[in-house]
Amino acid sequence: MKDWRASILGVFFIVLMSSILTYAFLGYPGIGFVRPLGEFYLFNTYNFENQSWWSASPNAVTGLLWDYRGYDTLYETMVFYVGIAAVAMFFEGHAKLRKTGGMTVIVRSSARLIFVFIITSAFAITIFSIKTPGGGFQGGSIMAIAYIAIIVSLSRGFLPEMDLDVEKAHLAKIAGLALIAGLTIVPVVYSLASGSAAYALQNLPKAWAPFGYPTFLGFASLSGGLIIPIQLGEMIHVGMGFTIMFLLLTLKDKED
Amino acid sequence: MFSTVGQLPYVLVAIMASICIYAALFKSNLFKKMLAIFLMTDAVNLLFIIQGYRLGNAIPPIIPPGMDPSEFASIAVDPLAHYFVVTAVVIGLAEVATLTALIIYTYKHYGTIETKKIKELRG
Repeated sequence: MKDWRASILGVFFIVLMSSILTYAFLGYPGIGFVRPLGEFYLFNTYNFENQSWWSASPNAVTGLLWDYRGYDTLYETMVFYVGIAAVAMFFEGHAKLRKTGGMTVIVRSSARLIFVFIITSAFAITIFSIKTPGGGFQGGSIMAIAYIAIIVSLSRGFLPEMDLDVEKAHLAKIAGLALIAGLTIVPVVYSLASGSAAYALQNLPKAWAPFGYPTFLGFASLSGGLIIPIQLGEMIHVGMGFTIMFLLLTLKDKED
Repeated sequence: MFSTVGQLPYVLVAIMASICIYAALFKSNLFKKMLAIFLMTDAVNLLFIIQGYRLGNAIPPIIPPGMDPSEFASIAVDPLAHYFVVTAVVIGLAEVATLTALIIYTYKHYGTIETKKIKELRG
Protein backbone atom coordinates (compact mmCIF):
# COMPACT_ATOMS: atom_id res chain seq x y z
CA MET A 1 0.00 0.00 0.00
CA LYS A 2 2.80 2.34 0.98
CA ASP A 3 4.73 1.62 -2.27
CA TRP A 4 1.58 2.26 -4.32
CA ARG A 5 1.15 5.67 -2.69
CA ALA A 6 4.82 6.50 -3.19
CA SER A 7 4.52 5.64 -6.91
CA ILE A 8 1.48 7.91 -7.33
CA LEU A 9 3.26 10.73 -5.51
CA GLY A 10 6.35 10.16 -7.68
CA VAL A 11 4.35 10.38 -10.92
CA PHE A 12 2.58 13.50 -9.59
CA PHE A 13 5.95 15.08 -8.75
CA ILE A 14 7.37 14.31 -12.23
CA VAL A 15 4.27 15.68 -14.02
CA LEU A 16 4.29 18.84 -11.87
CA MET A 17 8.03 19.38 -12.34
CA SER A 18 7.79 18.74 -16.12
CA SER A 19 4.97 21.31 -16.37
CA ILE A 20 6.96 23.93 -14.44
CA LEU A 21 10.08 23.35 -16.56
CA THR A 22 8.08 23.35 -19.82
CA TYR A 23 6.47 26.64 -18.79
CA ALA A 24 9.94 28.04 -18.07
CA PHE A 25 11.21 26.88 -21.47
CA LEU A 26 8.33 28.61 -23.30
CA GLY A 27 10.28 31.85 -23.23
CA TYR A 28 13.11 30.23 -25.18
CA PRO A 29 13.29 30.70 -28.93
CA GLY A 30 12.40 27.63 -31.02
CA ILE A 31 14.86 25.55 -33.01
CA GLY A 32 16.34 27.46 -35.94
CA PHE A 33 17.32 30.61 -34.10
CA VAL A 34 21.07 31.11 -33.72
CA ARG A 35 22.01 33.92 -31.38
CA PRO A 36 23.99 36.91 -32.75
CA LEU A 37 26.96 35.88 -30.56
CA GLY A 38 26.99 32.41 -32.17
CA GLU A 39 26.81 34.02 -35.62
CA PHE A 40 29.71 36.30 -34.68
CA TYR A 41 31.89 33.26 -33.91
CA LEU A 42 30.79 31.47 -37.08
CA PHE A 43 31.46 34.53 -39.24
CA ASN A 44 34.88 35.31 -37.78
CA THR A 45 36.45 31.98 -36.82
CA TYR A 46 38.12 31.46 -40.20
CA ASN A 47 37.64 34.82 -41.89
CA PHE A 48 40.85 35.80 -43.70
CA GLU A 49 39.48 39.24 -44.47
CA ASN A 50 38.95 40.13 -40.83
CA GLN A 51 42.01 38.72 -39.08
CA SER A 52 41.58 40.97 -36.04
CA TRP A 53 38.87 38.63 -34.82
CA TRP A 54 39.66 35.28 -36.37
CA SER A 55 40.89 32.21 -34.49
CA ALA A 56 42.60 30.54 -37.51
CA SER A 57 40.53 27.43 -36.86
CA PRO A 58 37.97 26.24 -39.43
CA ASN A 59 36.30 24.33 -36.58
CA ALA A 60 34.41 27.06 -34.73
CA VAL A 61 34.02 24.94 -31.58
CA THR A 62 37.80 24.45 -31.28
CA GLY A 63 38.28 28.18 -31.91
CA LEU A 64 35.85 28.89 -29.09
CA LEU A 65 37.54 26.42 -26.75
CA TRP A 66 41.04 27.89 -26.76
CA ASP A 67 40.69 31.30 -28.38
CA TYR A 68 37.44 33.18 -27.88
CA ARG A 69 36.55 31.54 -24.56
CA GLY A 70 39.96 30.24 -23.51
CA TYR A 71 39.56 31.24 -19.87
CA ASP A 72 36.38 29.16 -19.54
CA THR A 73 38.23 26.12 -20.85
CA LEU A 74 41.18 26.83 -18.56
CA TYR A 75 38.92 26.87 -15.49
CA GLU A 76 37.11 23.75 -16.73
CA THR A 77 40.51 22.04 -16.95
CA MET A 78 41.16 23.09 -13.35
CA VAL A 79 37.80 21.64 -12.26
CA PHE A 80 38.78 18.34 -13.88
CA TYR A 81 42.15 18.48 -12.10
CA VAL A 82 40.45 19.05 -8.74
CA GLY A 83 38.00 16.18 -9.45
CA ILE A 84 40.84 13.73 -10.08
CA ALA A 85 42.76 15.13 -7.08
CA ALA A 86 39.69 14.40 -4.91
CA VAL A 87 39.59 10.79 -6.12
CA ALA A 88 43.35 10.46 -5.52
CA MET A 89 42.91 11.90 -2.02
CA PHE A 90 40.51 9.09 -1.11
CA PHE A 91 42.62 6.24 -2.44
CA GLU A 92 46.20 7.49 -2.50
CA GLY A 93 48.74 5.18 -0.94
CA HIS A 94 46.63 2.11 -1.70
CA ALA A 95 47.41 1.77 -5.40
CA LYS A 96 49.85 -1.11 -5.50
CA LEU A 97 49.75 -2.38 -9.04
CA ARG A 98 49.82 -6.14 -8.72
CA LYS A 99 50.29 -8.32 -11.75
CA THR A 100 47.73 -11.05 -12.24
CA GLY A 101 47.05 -13.43 -15.10
CA GLY A 102 44.78 -11.19 -17.12
CA MET A 103 42.56 -12.57 -19.89
CA THR A 104 43.31 -15.20 -22.53
CA VAL A 105 46.38 -15.03 -24.81
CA ILE A 106 44.24 -13.92 -27.78
CA VAL A 107 42.74 -10.99 -25.83
CA ARG A 108 46.11 -9.99 -24.37
CA SER A 109 47.84 -10.05 -27.78
CA SER A 110 44.97 -8.10 -29.39
CA ALA A 111 45.05 -5.52 -26.60
CA ARG A 112 48.77 -4.93 -27.15
CA LEU A 113 48.16 -4.50 -30.87
CA ILE A 114 45.16 -2.17 -30.63
CA PHE A 115 46.85 -0.11 -27.91
CA VAL A 116 49.10 1.47 -30.58
CA PHE A 117 46.15 2.14 -32.89
CA ILE A 118 44.05 3.72 -30.15
CA ILE A 119 46.89 6.01 -29.02
CA THR A 120 47.51 7.01 -32.66
CA SER A 121 43.84 7.86 -33.18
CA ALA A 122 43.86 9.86 -29.91
CA PHE A 123 46.73 11.99 -31.25
CA ALA A 124 45.04 12.34 -34.67
CA ILE A 125 41.73 13.45 -33.13
CA THR A 126 43.58 15.99 -30.99
CA ILE A 127 45.92 17.38 -33.64
CA PHE A 128 43.33 17.64 -36.42
CA SER A 129 40.72 19.15 -34.11
CA ILE A 130 41.03 22.53 -35.82
CA LYS A 131 39.72 21.03 -39.07
CA THR A 132 37.57 18.12 -37.93
CA PRO A 133 35.43 17.32 -34.87
CA GLY A 134 37.53 16.46 -31.83
CA GLY A 135 39.87 18.09 -29.37
CA GLY A 136 42.07 17.58 -26.34
CA PHE A 137 39.30 16.23 -24.15
CA GLN A 138 38.06 13.80 -26.78
CA GLY A 139 41.64 12.69 -27.57
CA GLY A 140 42.39 12.31 -23.85
CA SER A 141 39.29 10.16 -23.34
CA ILE A 142 40.39 7.91 -26.22
CA MET A 143 43.92 7.76 -24.81
CA ALA A 144 42.50 6.59 -21.47
CA ILE A 145 40.54 3.88 -23.30
CA ALA A 146 43.87 2.47 -24.59
CA TYR A 147 45.22 2.18 -21.04
CA ILE A 148 41.93 0.83 -19.72
CA ALA A 149 42.03 -1.87 -22.44
CA ILE A 150 45.50 -2.83 -21.19
CA ILE A 151 44.38 -2.82 -17.54
CA VAL A 152 41.32 -4.95 -18.25
CA SER A 153 42.98 -7.49 -20.53
CA LEU A 154 46.51 -7.70 -19.08
CA SER A 155 45.87 -6.60 -15.45
CA ARG A 156 46.89 -3.34 -13.87
CA GLY A 157 50.24 -4.86 -12.87
CA PHE A 158 51.26 -4.75 -16.54
CA LEU A 159 51.34 -0.94 -16.51
CA PRO A 160 54.71 -0.67 -14.67
CA GLU A 161 56.18 -2.78 -17.50
CA MET A 162 54.98 0.01 -19.82
CA ASP A 163 56.75 2.49 -17.53
CA LEU A 164 53.49 3.79 -16.09
CA ASP A 165 52.17 3.72 -12.55
CA VAL A 166 49.89 6.05 -10.59
CA GLU A 167 52.75 8.35 -9.62
CA LYS A 168 54.06 8.64 -13.18
CA ALA A 169 50.52 9.17 -14.49
CA HIS A 170 50.16 12.02 -11.97
CA LEU A 171 53.45 13.50 -13.23
CA ALA A 172 52.34 13.21 -16.87
CA LYS A 173 49.01 14.81 -15.97
CA ILE A 174 50.81 17.71 -14.30
CA ALA A 175 53.16 17.99 -17.32
CA GLY A 176 50.09 18.39 -19.57
CA LEU A 177 48.75 21.06 -17.24
CA ALA A 178 52.19 22.75 -17.16
CA LEU A 179 52.19 22.90 -20.97
CA ILE A 180 48.79 24.63 -20.86
CA ALA A 181 50.00 27.01 -18.12
CA GLY A 182 53.23 27.76 -20.03
CA LEU A 183 51.37 28.62 -23.24
CA THR A 184 49.02 30.80 -21.17
CA ILE A 185 51.84 32.76 -19.58
CA VAL A 186 54.08 33.21 -22.67
CA PRO A 187 52.17 36.33 -23.92
CA VAL A 188 52.47 37.93 -20.46
CA VAL A 189 56.25 37.32 -20.44
CA TYR A 190 56.43 38.76 -23.98
CA SER A 191 54.46 41.79 -22.82
CA LEU A 192 56.79 42.39 -19.88
CA ALA A 193 59.89 41.95 -22.05
CA SER A 194 58.78 44.03 -25.04
CA GLY A 195 56.67 46.64 -23.29
CA SER A 196 53.80 46.10 -25.75
CA ALA A 197 50.34 44.90 -24.79
CA ALA A 198 49.67 41.16 -24.63
CA TYR A 199 47.22 39.14 -22.55
CA ALA A 200 47.37 35.80 -20.78
CA LEU A 201 46.12 33.05 -23.11
CA GLN A 202 46.21 35.43 -26.09
CA ASN A 203 46.31 33.36 -29.24
CA LEU A 204 46.53 35.65 -32.28
CA PRO A 205 47.60 39.29 -32.74
CA LYS A 206 45.08 42.11 -32.37
CA ALA A 207 45.43 45.73 -33.53
CA TRP A 208 46.21 46.86 -29.96
CA ALA A 209 48.14 43.74 -28.84
CA PRO A 210 50.69 42.53 -31.42
CA PHE A 211 51.63 39.22 -29.77
CA GLY A 212 50.51 36.10 -31.61
CA TYR A 213 51.40 32.45 -32.03
CA PRO A 214 52.16 31.39 -35.65
CA THR A 215 49.01 30.46 -37.55
CA PHE A 216 50.83 28.41 -40.16
CA LEU A 217 53.66 25.97 -39.61
CA GLY A 218 56.74 25.90 -41.85
CA PHE A 219 55.18 23.47 -44.29
CA ALA A 220 52.14 25.71 -44.82
CA SER A 221 49.91 23.58 -42.62
CA LEU A 222 47.36 25.33 -40.45
CA SER A 223 48.27 25.35 -36.75
CA GLY A 224 45.57 27.61 -35.30
CA GLY A 225 48.16 29.48 -33.23
CA LEU A 226 48.41 27.89 -29.80
CA ILE A 227 45.43 25.61 -30.35
CA ILE A 228 47.26 22.41 -31.38
CA PRO A 229 49.96 22.45 -28.63
CA ILE A 230 47.46 23.42 -25.95
CA GLN A 231 45.10 20.67 -27.13
CA LEU A 232 47.98 18.19 -26.78
CA GLY A 233 48.49 19.38 -23.20
CA GLU A 234 44.77 18.91 -22.55
CA MET A 235 44.88 15.43 -24.10
CA ILE A 236 47.71 14.29 -21.82
CA HIS A 237 46.03 15.87 -18.79
CA VAL A 238 42.64 14.27 -19.44
CA GLY A 239 44.03 10.92 -20.64
CA MET A 240 46.23 10.46 -17.59
CA GLY A 241 43.47 11.80 -15.31
CA PHE A 242 41.01 9.16 -16.51
CA THR A 243 43.66 6.43 -16.27
CA ILE A 244 44.38 7.37 -12.63
CA MET A 245 40.66 7.54 -11.91
CA PHE A 246 40.06 4.08 -13.39
CA LEU A 247 43.05 2.59 -11.58
CA LEU A 248 41.99 3.97 -8.20
CA LEU A 249 38.24 3.40 -8.44
CA THR A 250 38.59 -0.23 -9.49
CA LEU A 251 40.90 -1.27 -6.64
CA LYS A 252 39.65 -4.37 -4.94
CA ASP A 253 39.41 -4.50 -1.15
CA LYS A 254 42.28 -6.97 -0.84
CA GLU A 255 44.53 -4.55 -2.74
CA ASP A 256 43.75 -1.65 -0.38
CA MET B 1 0.74 26.37 -26.09
CA PHE B 2 3.79 26.30 -28.36
CA SER B 3 4.38 29.02 -30.91
CA THR B 4 6.48 26.78 -33.16
CA VAL B 5 7.01 23.05 -33.64
CA GLY B 6 10.66 23.78 -32.83
CA GLN B 7 9.77 24.27 -29.18
CA LEU B 8 8.38 20.75 -28.73
CA PRO B 9 11.76 19.11 -27.96
CA TYR B 10 11.87 21.26 -24.83
CA VAL B 11 9.09 19.08 -23.39
CA LEU B 12 11.37 16.05 -23.75
CA VAL B 13 14.11 17.87 -21.87
CA ALA B 14 11.62 18.93 -19.17
CA ILE B 15 10.42 15.33 -18.66
CA MET B 16 13.98 13.96 -18.59
CA ALA B 17 15.13 16.61 -16.12
CA SER B 18 12.04 16.06 -13.92
CA ILE B 19 12.62 12.30 -13.70
CA CYS B 20 16.26 12.98 -12.75
CA ILE B 21 15.29 15.57 -10.10
CA TYR B 22 12.82 13.07 -8.64
CA ALA B 23 15.43 10.30 -8.52
CA ALA B 24 18.10 12.58 -7.07
CA LEU B 25 15.76 13.76 -4.31
CA PHE B 26 13.77 10.67 -3.39
CA LYS B 27 15.81 7.54 -4.24
CA SER B 28 17.62 6.20 -1.21
CA ASN B 29 20.39 4.42 -3.14
CA LEU B 30 23.40 6.73 -3.45
CA PHE B 31 24.46 5.20 -6.77
CA LYS B 32 21.01 5.89 -8.24
CA LYS B 33 21.22 9.46 -6.95
CA MET B 34 24.58 9.87 -8.68
CA LEU B 35 23.23 8.45 -11.94
CA ALA B 36 20.28 10.84 -11.73
CA ILE B 37 22.60 13.83 -11.26
CA PHE B 38 24.73 12.68 -14.20
CA LEU B 39 21.66 12.24 -16.43
CA MET B 40 20.39 15.65 -15.32
CA THR B 41 23.54 17.22 -16.77
CA ASP B 42 22.78 15.31 -19.98
CA ALA B 43 19.28 16.81 -20.01
CA VAL B 44 20.83 20.27 -19.72
CA ASN B 45 23.30 19.41 -22.49
CA LEU B 46 20.38 18.32 -24.66
CA LEU B 47 18.75 21.67 -23.95
CA PHE B 48 21.88 23.47 -25.19
CA ILE B 49 22.04 21.38 -28.37
CA ILE B 50 18.34 21.93 -29.10
CA GLN B 51 18.77 25.66 -28.65
CA GLY B 52 21.76 25.82 -30.97
CA TYR B 53 20.29 23.68 -33.74
CA ARG B 54 18.93 24.93 -37.05
CA LEU B 55 16.15 23.28 -39.01
CA GLY B 56 16.59 22.58 -42.73
CA ASN B 57 19.95 22.29 -44.44
CA ALA B 58 22.06 22.97 -41.35
CA ILE B 59 25.76 22.13 -41.43
CA PRO B 60 28.19 21.46 -38.53
CA PRO B 61 30.16 24.47 -37.23
CA ILE B 62 33.23 23.61 -39.36
CA ILE B 63 33.66 25.88 -42.35
CA PRO B 64 33.99 23.87 -45.60
CA PRO B 65 36.93 24.91 -47.84
CA GLY B 66 36.07 27.85 -50.07
CA MET B 67 32.76 28.74 -48.39
CA ASP B 68 32.08 32.41 -47.77
CA PRO B 69 32.02 33.21 -44.01
CA SER B 70 28.68 35.08 -44.35
CA GLU B 71 27.03 32.04 -45.95
CA PHE B 72 28.61 29.77 -43.32
CA ALA B 73 27.28 31.98 -40.50
CA SER B 74 23.78 31.78 -41.96
CA ILE B 75 23.56 27.98 -42.28
CA ALA B 76 25.84 26.43 -39.59
CA VAL B 77 24.53 25.36 -36.18
CA ASP B 78 25.43 27.45 -33.12
CA PRO B 79 29.01 26.59 -32.02
CA LEU B 80 28.44 28.15 -28.61
CA ALA B 81 26.00 25.35 -27.69
CA HIS B 82 28.53 22.71 -28.70
CA TYR B 83 31.24 24.51 -26.75
CA PHE B 84 29.15 24.58 -23.58
CA VAL B 85 28.34 20.89 -23.93
CA VAL B 86 32.04 19.95 -24.28
CA THR B 87 32.94 21.88 -21.12
CA ALA B 88 29.86 20.59 -19.28
CA VAL B 89 30.78 16.98 -20.11
CA VAL B 90 34.28 17.42 -18.63
CA ILE B 91 32.92 19.03 -15.48
CA GLY B 92 30.20 16.34 -15.29
CA LEU B 93 32.82 13.60 -15.42
CA ALA B 94 34.91 15.26 -12.71
CA GLU B 95 31.74 15.41 -10.63
CA VAL B 96 30.95 11.74 -11.26
CA ALA B 97 34.52 10.74 -10.36
CA THR B 98 34.31 12.56 -7.04
CA LEU B 99 30.84 11.20 -6.26
CA THR B 100 31.90 7.64 -7.14
CA ALA B 101 34.88 7.94 -4.79
CA LEU B 102 32.58 9.23 -2.05
CA ILE B 103 30.12 6.37 -2.61
CA ILE B 104 32.90 3.75 -2.49
CA TYR B 105 34.20 5.37 0.69
CA THR B 106 30.69 5.39 2.18
CA TYR B 107 30.26 1.70 1.34
CA LYS B 108 33.58 0.82 2.94
CA HIS B 109 32.67 2.79 6.07
CA TYR B 110 29.01 1.79 6.55
CA GLY B 111 28.76 -1.42 4.50
CA THR B 112 25.78 -0.01 2.56
CA ILE B 113 24.94 2.81 0.17
CA GLU B 114 21.25 3.01 1.16
CA THR B 115 20.67 6.36 2.89
CA LYS B 116 17.78 4.90 4.95
CA LYS B 117 20.04 2.20 6.40
CA ILE B 118 22.83 4.69 7.04
CA LYS B 119 20.38 6.87 9.00
CA GLU B 120 19.41 3.86 11.12
CA LEU B 121 23.07 3.13 11.81
CA ARG B 122 23.56 6.65 13.13
CA GLY B 123 20.92 6.16 15.84
